[in-house]
Amino acid sequence: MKITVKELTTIGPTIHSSLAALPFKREETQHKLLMKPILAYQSPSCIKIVGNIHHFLASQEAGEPTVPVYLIQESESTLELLQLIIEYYAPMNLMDKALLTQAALELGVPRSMLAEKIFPQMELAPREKLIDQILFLLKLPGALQTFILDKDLSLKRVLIFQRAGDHLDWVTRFIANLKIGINMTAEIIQNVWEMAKKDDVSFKSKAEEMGLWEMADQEYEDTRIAVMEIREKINKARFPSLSKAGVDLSETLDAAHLPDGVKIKWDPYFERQGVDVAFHAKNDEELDQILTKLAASPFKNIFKHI
Amino acid sequence: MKEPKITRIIVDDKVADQILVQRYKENNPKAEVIQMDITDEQKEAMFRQEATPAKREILLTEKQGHTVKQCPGTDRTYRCCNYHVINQTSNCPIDCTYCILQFYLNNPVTTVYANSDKLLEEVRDKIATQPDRFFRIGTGELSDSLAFDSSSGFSKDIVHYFAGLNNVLLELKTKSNRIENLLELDHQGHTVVSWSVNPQVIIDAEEHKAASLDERLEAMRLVQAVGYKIGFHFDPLLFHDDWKTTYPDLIRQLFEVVDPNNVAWISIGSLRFPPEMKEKVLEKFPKSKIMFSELIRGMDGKMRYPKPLRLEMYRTVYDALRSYGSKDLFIYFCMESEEIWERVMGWSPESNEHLDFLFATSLYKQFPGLMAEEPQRTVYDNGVPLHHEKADLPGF
Repeated sequence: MKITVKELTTIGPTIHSSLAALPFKREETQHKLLMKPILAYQSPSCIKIVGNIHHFLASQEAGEPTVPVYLIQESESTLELLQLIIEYYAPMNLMDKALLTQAALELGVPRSMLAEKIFPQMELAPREKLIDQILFLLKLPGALQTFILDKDLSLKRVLIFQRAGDHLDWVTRFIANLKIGINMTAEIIQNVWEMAKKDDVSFKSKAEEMGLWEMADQEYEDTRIAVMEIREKINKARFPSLSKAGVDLSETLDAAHLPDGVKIKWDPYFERQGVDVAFHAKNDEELDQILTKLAASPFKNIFKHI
Repeated sequence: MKEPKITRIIVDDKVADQILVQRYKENNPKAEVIQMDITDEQKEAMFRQEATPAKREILLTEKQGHTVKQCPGTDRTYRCCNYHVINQTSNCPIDCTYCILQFYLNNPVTTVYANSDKLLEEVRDKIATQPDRFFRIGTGELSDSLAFDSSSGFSKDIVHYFAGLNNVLLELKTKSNRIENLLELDHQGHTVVSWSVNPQVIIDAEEHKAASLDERLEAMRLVQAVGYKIGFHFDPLLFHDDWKTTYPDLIRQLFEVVDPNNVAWISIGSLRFPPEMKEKVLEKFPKSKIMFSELIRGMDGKMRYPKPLRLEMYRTVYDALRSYGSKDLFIYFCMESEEIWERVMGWSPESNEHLDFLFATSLYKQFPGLMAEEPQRTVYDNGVPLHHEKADLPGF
């Protein structure tokens, strides 16, 4: 590969459309980009801008007659050119990688070569399966794309959005209105998706049935309240036998008429046998009352439920 | 059930003259045969291949080190029965959705240790070190015991060998109906042929290449007729619509064929798997719904049905076994807590060693002549594993 530095006229060179979308976070890095020389490639017919077209366009708009560019005069292959572009934009964020993957396919790079040769350059696993997964990012609503970069999410984490199907706007509203993070978002999507698959119904109808669909349009001042509500709805749908056991236990405890000072704690999601019983007694009389109630048969029945 | 089609047989020079190699070649005349001096690096490369439905390779090689090991079981949080395994074959062609082997051994290579003489001698030598203890040893941990038997004929060797050993029972555990080789053998009552069983609706959905229930029932009838002891493994019980009727119905069908007096043991266990297996199952078997069930993380870190649900399922199966089978059946839980034992059966073993002893006692009473003397508790309490390592997985 032969690269030279050249003053290029702002009239004439063609933009390389496949690469024009790079980098993703253009506005935030505009200053840096303008400081960075443009990357251009001498094709047989013309000079194409393959890196930092935005600097070129800004120079055009400012009426500058020429701009400095790194000009690639010879390149052995598209692969080599793409490798150089990856280095030019390094460090690339996840959306940049998606954009470059799309560009590579548009330039005719075979999928197997893309996976084996280009992905490792972008610190992605050399698996063809990843191509469609990373291209999925480009279909996401802009707000979710920004969310991914703001939270520095991994590709694996981001793929949870695939399971929301056509309801990514709903996911976006959920995140925006309830101010929840990726873990809670993933938990919601995963659970709705699984329950929908289990019952052979659509994602939306399952979310509605679980009482989650309408939550996306409610605003919560305290995210913790929202999270508690979400968890309650998910657990009710996911754990019917545990929910039933919990209800049965509560009814039995109500029937046992335990004094207020007695607290019963059962963790249904943990396998440990039994319940925690705690109480506070201020004198002998209260202590006797509590012990009598705890020794009575209605209370002893609690273990059959759990 | 169809015998898995073997596309390639790779023979390690070190075992080229073994009888098992000759049988694999003779019984798979269309398979490509490659003989070579195989290095560890070459084996690792084979194990890294992706499994495909059309590709099944048999690697016939030499087992180095110990063969008889403890059943992998689980930690002491849940009860285990001190079972031992021989991993003569590793990898299984049956493709059950829930099987952990698919994820540890997700490659097209089935490893067969062809130096069977050495494997069997190791069994003999090891059990001879504890002559007063009665062992149970199985070959169905890292593969189905009989799925490849039409090719390997290994059952002929191992059943014959165990027939001459005093203090051990061999268990051939299967979901197949490949019992042809067993029917002519002089087993001397030292082999239990056991079946993993599930309702046909589960076989259809989750046990993709296994024998149908009818095929298994017919195989049970045949091996029972020639005097083999029978075992049943209701493991994993799988939650599904109508499970409350399908499982009792399955049990009724089993005991219409099998005499409870011939049943050596019955295990019950429910679906359990490491959490990381879930996504792999969803990817590999997108139509399967078993991962969408009500599952929590158990005390050993594995995903399981929650206790109230497990209790309900176990009670249903246990009651049906007592009802259709017999009150004397030896029923045990595989990897379950003392609490579950107590709440379903009304008692629980005091320890893993105690459970091992109870197995021996039950066999002693049920099958006169199997053991020379009544088992002694202290022998089992002081027993040591035949090998300290738990069963391993090739390539890992």
